[in-house]
Amino acid sequence: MAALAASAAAAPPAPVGIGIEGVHKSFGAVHALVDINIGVRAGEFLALIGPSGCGKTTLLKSIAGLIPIDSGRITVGERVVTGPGPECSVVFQDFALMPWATVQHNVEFGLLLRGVPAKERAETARRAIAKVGLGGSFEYAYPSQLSGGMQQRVGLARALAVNPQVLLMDEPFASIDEQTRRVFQDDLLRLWSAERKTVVLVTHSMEEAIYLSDRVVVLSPRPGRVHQVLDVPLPRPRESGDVRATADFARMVDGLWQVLRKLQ
Amino acid sequence: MISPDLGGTPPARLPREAFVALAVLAALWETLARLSPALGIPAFAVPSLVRIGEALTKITPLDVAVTLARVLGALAASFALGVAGAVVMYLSQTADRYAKPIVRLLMAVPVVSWILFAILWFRWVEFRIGFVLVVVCAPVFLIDILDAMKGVSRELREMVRSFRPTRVQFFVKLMLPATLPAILTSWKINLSLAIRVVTIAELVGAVTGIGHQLAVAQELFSVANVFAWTLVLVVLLFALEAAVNWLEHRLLRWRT
Repeated sequence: MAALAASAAAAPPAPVGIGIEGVHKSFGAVHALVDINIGVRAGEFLALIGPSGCGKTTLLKSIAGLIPIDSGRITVGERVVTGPGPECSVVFQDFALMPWATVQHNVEFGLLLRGVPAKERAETARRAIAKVGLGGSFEYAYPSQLSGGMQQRVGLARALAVNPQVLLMDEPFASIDEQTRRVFQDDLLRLWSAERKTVVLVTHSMEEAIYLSDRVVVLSPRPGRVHQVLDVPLPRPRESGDVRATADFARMVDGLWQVLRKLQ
Repeated sequence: MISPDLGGTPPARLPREAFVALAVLAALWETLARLSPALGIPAFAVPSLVRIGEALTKITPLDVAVTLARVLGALAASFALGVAGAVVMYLSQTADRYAKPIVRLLMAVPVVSWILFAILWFRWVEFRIGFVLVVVCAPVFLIDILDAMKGVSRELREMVRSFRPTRVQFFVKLMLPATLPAILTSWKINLSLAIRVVTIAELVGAVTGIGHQLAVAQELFSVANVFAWTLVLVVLLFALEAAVNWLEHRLLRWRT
């Protein structure tokens, strides 16, 4: 995994920004999102955090085009989102791996649907698998033969294989143990430093939000509104030093906690 | 594309206990056959294993082949109809709401009623048998496959949608492999169902097939022949189930 950047053969596409303007979304009588306005800069790492049920995942899936919004506008680059687009890849909380397919075939999946020839598909998938640190003996394993952390790496490799400009991550570390999570977070930061994709991360973890992101958007309890946007001015690269042990990190996590505590 | 060490366990074989149980059953039967005159039971009612064996040597392969062809042909047609119906009902909630009561109604009609309807409605014997088999088996396929499709996890469906599949890709690349375990289970259920239904259908209308031979044996009071043809039916069902099990082992090795 240390050679994340070095193994990238295909040039990463230029990142694009995301515009979220006046977005409303209801499920029947339940208002999930109300007047959401967020601008995500190209190449930015943005975290969405808030109490359970505040609409974080709904907003992420709306950006992905998987959930239609009731009103407002979401743009990814120049494209107004009306459905899933080629710029975005999603990493799902419970991995969403196909249990009947090997790691290699899972990672190839997006390319297969795009009609990429078999040889090119296999090569690209192998590179993506290597990028996330699973190369070698795991290509032909089935998801059930992997640990949770490994399965999520496969999910990330699948998202990366299609070379997206935007990576949308829905609590990707929620089902992973603490040690694996920290290693994975560092790996993700290295990957992001190398490829500079625009990343939107939904998380419940304050430490994770501060450690990974440039800005943290705090959503209020249902109906979800943008309560506050916090800048994270911690220096980068964070993965090579022990940022978590610094006083600034602790102060920022505490600051985020003070904001979230008032929302409980 | 699977490394050798990842292969699954082989399909289950008949355990020793099953052989022992069958041998005990055969021994009990033979004892009953020998004691039947002393017990006041007519000798023809409980034929000895030798007589059943003799009847087995007179089995006509053509009748077995005809019944097998009817079962497999009707099941193939039922499967095609079941899949088509399930896809339409999955895609359209309106179709689902209107069609489901009809499908449930069809499933509630007794097989004997379908046979009587077939005799009253159709003249051609093969069509009668095919009709009865399809009308009994297709709804089972439909409901099983539809339930399996609806059971595919939301995350998997969203994952596939995020890559913008065509409708054909959605069904071929996701729904087909995701529902394959349910499809194979449905085939096993329908094989058993079809073997039983075809026998009854052949009893009342056909001039060939195992059901017809059973009717002939009954007219001749030949219990040995009834036993022999019944054994053939049971072995036929086991063989077909073994074929599906083999297929299941090949296609679903990821589950082991």
